[in-house]
Amino acid sequence: MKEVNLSMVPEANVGDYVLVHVGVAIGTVDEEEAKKTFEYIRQLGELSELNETSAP
Amino acid sequence: MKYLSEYRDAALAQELLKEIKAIVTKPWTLMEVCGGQTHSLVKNGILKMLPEQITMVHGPGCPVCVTPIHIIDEAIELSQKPHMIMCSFGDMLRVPGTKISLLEAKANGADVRIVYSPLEAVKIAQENPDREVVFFAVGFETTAPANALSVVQAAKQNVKNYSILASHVLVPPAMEAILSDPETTVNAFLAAGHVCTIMGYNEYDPIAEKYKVPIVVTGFEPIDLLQGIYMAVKQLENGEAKVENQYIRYVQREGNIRAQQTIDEVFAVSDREWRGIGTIPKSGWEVNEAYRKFDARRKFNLVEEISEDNTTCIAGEIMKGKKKPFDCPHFGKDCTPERPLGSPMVSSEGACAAYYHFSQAEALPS
Repeated sequence: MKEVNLSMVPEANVGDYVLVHVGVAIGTVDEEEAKKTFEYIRQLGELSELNETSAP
Repeated sequence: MKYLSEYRDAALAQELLKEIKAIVTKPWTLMEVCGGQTHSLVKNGILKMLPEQITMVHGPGCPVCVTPIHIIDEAIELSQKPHMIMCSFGDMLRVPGTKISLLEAKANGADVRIVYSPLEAVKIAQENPDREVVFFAVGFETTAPANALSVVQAAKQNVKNYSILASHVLVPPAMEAILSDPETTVNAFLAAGHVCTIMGYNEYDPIAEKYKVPIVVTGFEPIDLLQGIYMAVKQLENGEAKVENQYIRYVQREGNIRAQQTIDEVFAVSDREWRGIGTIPKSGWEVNEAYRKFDARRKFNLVEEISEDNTTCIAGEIMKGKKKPFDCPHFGKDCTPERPLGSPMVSSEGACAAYYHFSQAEALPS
């Protein structure tokens, strides 16, 4: 069990995931933004499939 | 684990690799700034999977690698003072100074302690009021808030036997130093995600504009890195040079304001020597006037002696992206993680140690 200082993440609540560096939490995970990464990749896949089918 | 395993998904990684291959038409050299990214790229075999047009060169973002030899010597000198407890992150102990390392100083009887956090060093100071405790505060912007916080806590709790030996370095001036080198090969940067968690990425706009290089704030997991590479290559292929953020789950444009305030409370910008690279103007932080009592340099009247760094290590050329670890005649022969000649072989964030541990060197194109 490690002690983590939360003074830099006043927005963090119980149950949140935080990014910890040398004993200090420096950020909280933005859940909505985290989902966007996968949407981005999914859209890339769809886009290239579209290009493949429309290619002569 | 949440927000971790998803970013290591092999099928998604293949999907991204396919997309990268689909858009790349010309040879490009990308530099990942942070040693943590280097480690992940090598460990996950990404360097071997990228299309041959893409060359990754490994940047200076390894605190252990860029700490100048005379500051290592200062730490060793301090550790040998009577009643001293020298606290440090573990990977600084094996870095060779001019004569010995901190680890050898410890073996010779100095009280050198490895701590996980600078806040632990403050606690050690409180528990040992008749001793002096110095924390060897190295690092980039990511580590600065914790180091600054330790000083603020010590001041608030009136811990008079605590001070820090600061060797803080800043990423944007180093990127500019690399780009203004006429021999630079770097076409685009993957900026260090966790540095930007603290600082945001407003400071990169002028660099992208001045040097016409895409800069993509990027995370550390395989999916992050591949997406960052995709975004950078897409910009290069389209002739664009803007700042983009891949690491959106942790990085906001303005960064962590609370952390920045803590840094500003304790540190002031200063010129800084980078091991293997030289002095870069306004590229570091030192303890400011208000907190001078917590500055080990002033407290123990250390005279900064620039010691000759006469190793045959090619760290500077590696960190500027001009050479790869296996271009060095010492790599894996008389320079290994057990007996390092130079700092990039010491830290797990060093390019040489990463190549050595994951033995990719022979499989990579030069």
